[in-house]
Amino acid sequence: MSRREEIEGLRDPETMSLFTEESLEALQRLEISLMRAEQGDVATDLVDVMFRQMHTFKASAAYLMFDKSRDLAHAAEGMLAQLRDENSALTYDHVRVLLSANDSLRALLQSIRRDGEEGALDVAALIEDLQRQSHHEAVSQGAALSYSEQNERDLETGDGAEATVRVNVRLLDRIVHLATELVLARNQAVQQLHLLGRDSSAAQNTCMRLSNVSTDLQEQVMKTRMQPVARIFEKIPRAARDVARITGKQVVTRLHDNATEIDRALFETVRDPILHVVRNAIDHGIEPPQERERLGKPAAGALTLRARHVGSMVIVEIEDDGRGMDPDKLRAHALGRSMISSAEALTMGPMEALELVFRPGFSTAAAVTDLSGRGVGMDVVRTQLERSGGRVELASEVGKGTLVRLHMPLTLAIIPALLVSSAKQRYAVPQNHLVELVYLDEQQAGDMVHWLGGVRVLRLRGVNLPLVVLDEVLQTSSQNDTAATDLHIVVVAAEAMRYALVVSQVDNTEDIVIKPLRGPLRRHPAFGGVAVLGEGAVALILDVAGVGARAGLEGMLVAEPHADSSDTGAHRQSWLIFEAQGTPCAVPLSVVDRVEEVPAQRIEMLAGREVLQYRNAFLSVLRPEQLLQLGAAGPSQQMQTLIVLDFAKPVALAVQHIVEVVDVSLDTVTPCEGQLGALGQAVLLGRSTLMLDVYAVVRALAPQATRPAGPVHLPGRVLLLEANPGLRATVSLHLAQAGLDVVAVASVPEARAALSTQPSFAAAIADLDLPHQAGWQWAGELVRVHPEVAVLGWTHEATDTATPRAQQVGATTCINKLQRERIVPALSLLQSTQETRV
Amino acid sequence: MTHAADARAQAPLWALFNLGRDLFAVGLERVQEVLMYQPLTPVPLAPAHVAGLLNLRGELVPTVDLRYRLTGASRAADADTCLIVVSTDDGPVSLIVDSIDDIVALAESQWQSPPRSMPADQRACVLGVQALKQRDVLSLNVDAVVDGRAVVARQEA
Repeated sequence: MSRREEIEGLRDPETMSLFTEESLEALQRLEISLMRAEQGDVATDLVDVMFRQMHTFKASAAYLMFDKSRDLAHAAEGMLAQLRDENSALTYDHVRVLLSANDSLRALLQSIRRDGEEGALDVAALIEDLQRQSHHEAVSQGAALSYSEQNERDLETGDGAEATVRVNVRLLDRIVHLATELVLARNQAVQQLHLLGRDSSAAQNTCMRLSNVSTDLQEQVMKTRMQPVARIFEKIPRAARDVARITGKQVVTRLHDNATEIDRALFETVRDPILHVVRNAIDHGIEPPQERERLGKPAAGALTLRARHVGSMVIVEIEDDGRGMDPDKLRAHALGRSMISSAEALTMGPMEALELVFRPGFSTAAAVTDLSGRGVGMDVVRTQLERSGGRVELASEVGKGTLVRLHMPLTLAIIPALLVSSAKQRYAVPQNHLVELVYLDEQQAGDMVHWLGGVRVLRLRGVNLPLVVLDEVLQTSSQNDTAATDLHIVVVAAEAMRYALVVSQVDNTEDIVIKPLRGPLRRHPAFGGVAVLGEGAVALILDVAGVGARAGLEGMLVAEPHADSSDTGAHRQSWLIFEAQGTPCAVPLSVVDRVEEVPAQRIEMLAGREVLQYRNAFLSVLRPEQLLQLGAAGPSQQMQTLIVLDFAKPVALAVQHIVEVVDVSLDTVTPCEGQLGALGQAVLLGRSTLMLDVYAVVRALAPQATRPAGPVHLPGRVLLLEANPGLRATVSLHLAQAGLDVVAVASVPEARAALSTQPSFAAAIADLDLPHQAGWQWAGELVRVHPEVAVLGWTHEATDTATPRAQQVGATTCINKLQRERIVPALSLLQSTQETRV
Repeated sequence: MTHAADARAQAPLWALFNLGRDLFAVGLERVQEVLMYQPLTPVPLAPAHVAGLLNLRGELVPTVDLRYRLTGASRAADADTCLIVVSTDDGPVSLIVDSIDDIVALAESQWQSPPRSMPADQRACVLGVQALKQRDVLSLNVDAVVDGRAVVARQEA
């Protein structure tokens, strides 16, 4: 067979397509890592990952007989191998040459994709560069001999089963179309069945089932059309870097995309305007480094991109901290180009002046550089967006910077929302407007709801929130509604207002697909869109600001958004938020020893339990979803994130990824009834988060980790003073199980009574959170009056602040209320010290 | 072929429907589909002529109670009640009508202005009148019908 024939045999369209697409994606990912490395954020496994990628790529390129790609990848691989073997640090030069290699490989692939051939690109110089960097000139020659064996071996080993598949776009569109047709046919069938089977419940049930399934199918299929905005964003750092280089500026790019997704169809519409604005920002906005330093700014300009959902809109913001737009300069410029008259220039206000940039032809010859002036002006950006029903906003401050905000009303946007019901209708409250959930029974409602200046308010932790009854605002309440005595309240915030919205019922949180309200319903005062829910039900999406306005809240003195003090003194604690099965969860930071990331395959099964061998010990690996009801599992990852807990025996929670650490006031936790392992729900970082009862989780899944080292014997009883009945009961039980004789009381007088009437207490656990410092006072008193009783402080406060104070008072130590498993070890320490004392 | 027949052969097609005692026509090119009446999702605080949202294969289509729009009165749906989904500049809108009639070709030249005797509200929603056999066909001004401003103004008056 001739080489030509051989090549044609290997390069069938499907293989080629797979090769180019997968490789381009891999190169894109590599570029992101390299860009980060360039900015100093070097991933620990970067060299390893790159080496493997180049190795795989080389094998495929060799197989398909793309010599230049093969050679280039081989040279890169060689340099990386050397870096890896010698454990050398990655230098800027390395990154630079690897980025060039990445670029060239991409160019080759694009040529292959377009023409089937690598094209004329000359990579010889780059290959030499790579080889020079690795000081191993022998590699390129020696390796040539082993190509064929390597290739065959490597092509067999895949990456392992992935949870995503590649689907031809045309096929996907066809499926979407068919799903739509199915629903149409379903409609017709349902009509007929209704008419024919009016009296048959079996027919009705069949109808319903058919209905539900086809709606569900259609929704799932529609979701396949969504693309993360991150895909556009991830190209920005590179584009920004290039523009910066050409214009002699320095730029640091930050991206916040909040997992925002948009419909594939709108991808293109939005990508070019964003790139254009970014180029503008760097070219015109950000000053050269020396000028910035003179102005007291950091030499590198900050370019920040954000994406988020607001109602049925997606908002993309591009912000820079450059010189901002000067209305005077803009006016002068427009005047110079005869776009406005002198009279207009005189009377034009600053806001209007900013709008001048949107006029066609505004970009001057002087300002037109290679990049931003290619016939694309802000006018084109505005037109393109408005054609899709969006708009562009500008805000700027001279010397401080510019913010460009792109609004896109999309036919499809998915947001998480809390579903509520009122007057038998379902509504959705977008999660980004959700502050917290409050449930008040009749008595609490009586205590916490007052009239204030003619308006009903809810007094929540010292702050007055206007009370808005949804049914009243929507005029959907009927005479028959008996005055509800208990209140289901959703505290919401939008723009400058924050209020307590009363609904009949709070349901679950769901990801909903937003459809805009159009035609005669456009610009509805209270709704920002509508969503179809799982079972075909419809939920109108509340426009929180609109509902507030209709309730007359605009212009009213509303609650200060950041007032957080509580009447009883804030019980704030740091909690670690993470995601498990797509559900936000949190554990107190105080129980976390450390967070590790390990290769998932290192977790083994041992006697029916998952364990990880770690430094000659076995770490029990627990999965929260084994106990709690969470969401759906995501794609399995190579690396497993473990939150290692501070328990008697080594134990860790296996989670998807860590989110953030936040301070939480325990008053904001809404208890969940009957969920073992969960203390309750709280709204953290704008999302409904499950607060785990770590002790209960570990006790349920790995009881051996919670068993104390051995039974504890104290020469006497333990007095437990704890005001909260639930906590008092749990701790007593826990102590009793450890073999201790416990007397539990709820108040200081009771505690005093117990001490005087019942002798021989060896230790006392004092609730330091009692109001008016009663617990502290009692602890001090105890130390004085009963020196033979060891005092342990017991509090919600962080132990690093509480312990020193407790010790000053005379207590032995302080234990955090969320770490009750620490009580017994602390008591056994007492045991040993007491023994030595004796 | 006669002149009249010629005119009809080239005339655009119209979808006819009944509302009360009247026979209306909508240009066929504007009609997306016709379906049997199905329950709508009510929209609180919507303009009074909007009866609710129709769930059409996952798309939520605002639905106008045409009778209410034209006469200020409503009627419960029955077995013949239909929804006609028409296209507008701002997406599809559906109209509640009593029953669907035929599809006919109507000559452009035969349209006449609606009579003065027709109440002003209705006249604003009718583009023209044409005779068809024994009856008069009224060409519906879909955009005027859908537009909520006239209705809201009336509500607030």
